Amino acid sequence: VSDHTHPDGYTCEQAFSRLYEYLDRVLTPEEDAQVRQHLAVCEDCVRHFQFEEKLLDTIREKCRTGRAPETLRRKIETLLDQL
Amino acid sequence: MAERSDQQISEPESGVRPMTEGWGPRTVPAGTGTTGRREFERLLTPLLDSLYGAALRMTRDPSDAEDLVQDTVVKAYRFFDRFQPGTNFRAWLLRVLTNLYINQYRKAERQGERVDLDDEEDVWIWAKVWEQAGNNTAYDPEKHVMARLGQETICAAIDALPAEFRVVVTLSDVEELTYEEIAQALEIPVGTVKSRLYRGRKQCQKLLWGYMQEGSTA
Repeated sequence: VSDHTHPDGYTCEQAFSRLYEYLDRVLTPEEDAQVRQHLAVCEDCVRHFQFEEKLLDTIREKCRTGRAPETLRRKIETLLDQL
Repeated sequence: MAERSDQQISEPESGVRPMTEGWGPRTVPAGTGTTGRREFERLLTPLLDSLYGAALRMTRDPSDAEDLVQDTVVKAYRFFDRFQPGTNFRAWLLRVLTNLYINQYRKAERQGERVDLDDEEDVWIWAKVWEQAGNNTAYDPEKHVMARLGQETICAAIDALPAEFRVVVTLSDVEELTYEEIAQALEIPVGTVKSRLYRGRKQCQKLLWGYMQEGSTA
């Protein structure tokens, strides 16, 4: 992460410090706009942010492929019948 | 950098109260009617894969995960009249599951897990791959890194996280709950969710980078 200031008056480090809050969409509209403005002028940060987003997507995709075992489904059915 | 918390993390769940607190005793057995049971089953069935997946990441044991899901179903049904129709049933179920995990399974687990604070050296995969790539501007980190991150590798990294980070990373990055929903599930402040998630993700990157260097389970 380079630390030079871009024309938007925002450093890459400032943008990076808001990486996850930006990706998780929890920034205030004002903060979100600041990060967006930085990304509009900084190709390095765009690539880095895209990489981190892709990494989170990969983690989600790989971890969500599992299915509940049939034995468990049957146990739940029995359980529900008894409730 | 994102916020860091100096909270005591060796006993992360000490502030967690049983989820029955504030819910009050059930006065009308609304969930026990046939209609209530059918509605519960209709909502529950499509979410079993998700529940089992979350239980497996938390307990790290297929048999414990099945038990946890069954306990979750029983408890959720018992409190089904507390569920507000139209709100997120999956988040509500995961809240029940998380609470059971913390109060029953987690207590039964060995308490040896501690986070070594001195070991929190920053490892960002992005920076590391560029160190290795040198001046090769044609290098495509996404292509090279993602291809090496298989299901086993990623699950191994999450499983290796200390419980307080593992639960938050699972609820956020696998189950896609919001900070607010995770805060409710764990009965902790949103700021604590944010700091645990940040540290959990960072540790996860460090572990993944380590596994990639070993070229092991990928």
